[in-house]
Amino acid sequence: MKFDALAIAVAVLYLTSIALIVVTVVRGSLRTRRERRHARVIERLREPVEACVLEGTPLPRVPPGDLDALLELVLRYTSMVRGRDAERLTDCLAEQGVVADLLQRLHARPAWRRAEAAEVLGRLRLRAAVPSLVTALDDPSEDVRTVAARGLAAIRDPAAVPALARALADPSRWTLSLVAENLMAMGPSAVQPLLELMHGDEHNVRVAAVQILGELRDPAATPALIQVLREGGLNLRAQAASGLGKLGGPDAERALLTALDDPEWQVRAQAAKALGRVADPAAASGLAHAMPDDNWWVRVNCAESLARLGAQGRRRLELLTRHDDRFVRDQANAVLDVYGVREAG
Amino acid sequence: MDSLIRAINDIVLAYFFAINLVYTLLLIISVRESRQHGRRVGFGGYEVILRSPLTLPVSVLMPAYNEECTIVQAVQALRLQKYGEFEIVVIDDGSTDSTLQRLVEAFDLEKVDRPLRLTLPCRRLQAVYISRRIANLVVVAKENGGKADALNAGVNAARFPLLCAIDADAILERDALLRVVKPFMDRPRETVATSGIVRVVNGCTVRDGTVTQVRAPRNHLAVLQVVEYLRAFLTSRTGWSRIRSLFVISGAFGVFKKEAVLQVGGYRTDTVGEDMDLVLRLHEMYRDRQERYRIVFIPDPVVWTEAPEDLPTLRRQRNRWHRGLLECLWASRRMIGRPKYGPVGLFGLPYNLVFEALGPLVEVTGYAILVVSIARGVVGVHFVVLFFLLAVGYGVFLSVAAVLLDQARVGRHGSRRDLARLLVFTVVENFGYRQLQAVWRAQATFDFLRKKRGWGEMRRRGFERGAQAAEKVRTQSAEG
Repeated sequence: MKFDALAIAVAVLYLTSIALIVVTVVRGSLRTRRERRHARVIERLREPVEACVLEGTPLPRVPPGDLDALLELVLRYTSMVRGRDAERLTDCLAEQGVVADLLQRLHARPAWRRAEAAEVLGRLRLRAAVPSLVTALDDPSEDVRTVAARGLAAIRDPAAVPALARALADPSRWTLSLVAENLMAMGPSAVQPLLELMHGDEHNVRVAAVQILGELRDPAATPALIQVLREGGLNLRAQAASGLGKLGGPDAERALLTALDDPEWQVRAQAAKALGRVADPAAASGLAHAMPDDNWWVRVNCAESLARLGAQGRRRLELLTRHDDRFVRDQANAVLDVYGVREAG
Repeated sequence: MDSLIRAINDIVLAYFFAINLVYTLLLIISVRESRQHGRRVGFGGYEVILRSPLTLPVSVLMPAYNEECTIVQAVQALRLQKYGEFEIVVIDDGSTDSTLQRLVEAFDLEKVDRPLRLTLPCRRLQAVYISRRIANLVVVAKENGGKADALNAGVNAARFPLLCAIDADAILERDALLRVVKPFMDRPRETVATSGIVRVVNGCTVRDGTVTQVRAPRNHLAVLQVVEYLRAFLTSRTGWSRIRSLFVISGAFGVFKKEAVLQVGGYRTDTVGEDMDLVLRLHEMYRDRQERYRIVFIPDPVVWTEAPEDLPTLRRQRNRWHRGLLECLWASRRMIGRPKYGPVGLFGLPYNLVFEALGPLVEVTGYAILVVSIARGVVGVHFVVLFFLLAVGYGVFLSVAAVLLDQARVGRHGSRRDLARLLVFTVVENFGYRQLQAVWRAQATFDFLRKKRGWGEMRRRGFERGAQAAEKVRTQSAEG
């Protein structure tokens, strides 16, 4: 009895292994055949699609089985063409029923199909899809939400900014950095909603908003960031200092010089680094003054920023090599050393 | 006497079924996870991560000891990585050959007085070099102290919040860094360590630091290892990662959050399994603090590494690996079986203790008892043959599943002939290679036990000490 069970188990194992191999080989060759056919269809459709892009000739009716190939072909062009031409292409797709199908697929049961649809809609930069994609921002699947947000950013419709900003305010459901990314892609239209977010309660969101405002480099945000640098909490102040360095301008510079006296070293270090980014030689004396700090990071950032301020900064560094504090001397020497090597290279 | 043999036989049998049950479960979990990952990969937004200014910059740490033949190529290949901001930190661990000179000549290095913050203790640093030609290359020369010590020195020199530890002879695929960093972008606060697949490069064509054509190796020993690596990475680590008890992050390729590495006090220098040890201490620290954290294996960033093609080298490698495992298990013994340490304590560590650490001993005992059993007629030849077929069949099944999983996902081993060769070797490995491994690992166990007495008491370097080290912010100019 025992042997029979064993024998059956052995037989089952070997048969399963063989079956696995057969299935994989068959699937592999099926896939190759499908790919070949796909390539042929694309080749056939290339000319009509090109005519559609260049001359506006309407596309002939494409059989349903070839719609995937058509979509792929159109996606290749949408990354290259803009404006009227792009619209003509998406119109062609709409005529073939592809767009309606994609919008339908945003409600499909498997999450990956919904995500796929959102992805394609975003890549087509289809304005008509904005409301559907905004709805998809509340999808239960994180993938779908992420892809929808990215799609909205690609379409760059200002109507989507409030929805994305709201998404930023709900970090439990989002990858903060990806939403931030999308808001950054929206450009200046994102500035106002972000400024409003900075008055919210959620600390992480405010930090993220400050960070994005810095990345957007829109001077309209400067006064708000200066205010944060004066009054915010530790993380906010440090982030605002970093952001002001990217924004630049005389107001930002003045605020940053004041921040070199901040009680917290993180803020001082960020302010020092930011001043190097602004790269105004007038900041040299302030930085040189701040360099004898107890904290290593502040010293490093001050010295490196001084090295970026040109002749004036370097003169200050040379003076600092004779400073009483050994750490200050070492740091100034080290930066001058590295700077010298880079110059020569 | 016969009843004793029978009892041992039953134990070995029970063990056999238990281990295979675990393997099957892992396989099922892995297949599901791989499928899901395969579908999600398209929505990864890798282009976004590549372009984004928010992407975390990475310090790639490459310890090198007597690598004069490959080091320049390795650095050149790394420079091709498709990634935003990263720096390459080569740590010359007191090489006795001309590793350092080669680097100095190839990249026009210049000694600088750059101060390093010695947050982690390491052997004396001799000099820090930067390159006139490449902005993101730093070379740290130090006294010889072993790989872990070199990595600690590298951590001290690293400027960026993420650390990527790689071997000097490993070849990263061009988008490997991008893919392995993705979890850090998805969940920046929780993710502390990630790693990818290590594959065998033997037989493949490598041009300009990239693998251009994937072939099954000519060398038989290397093919066996191809199958072995696929099994280990695709059907096992994926599964362990899914149930959140992954603690094997290969030293050849892993990315860590620097802050976390500093908090646990860096790599431990008194073990040969420093990579695994680090990950275990990360688990321990976060569980002790009851914080959320993630340690992830992602089944598509690939690093290629050369597998030994002769038995003595392979034997030394396996001996080291097994001793590393045993040392880590010993060092983390207080986590084993304790619910406080989550899935790692309840599944990961006990599995490794019972099946990986003791496995070779049981297997060797099994073979011995089989011979005795047949000689004394305790079991019939019929049963023995069937059981042997079952054991081989199961081994083949697991390996075939791994090879096919790989094939179905990416079709790496392009030609049918290569696939056939791999499949043939899934059978071959059960005759000789598997037994050899068991013997080697049993030997390693004895080596471990002998050596342990020599250590006397082994103290754990808990994160308390690491925290102290982190507080003590010292600066030291590298002499030179």
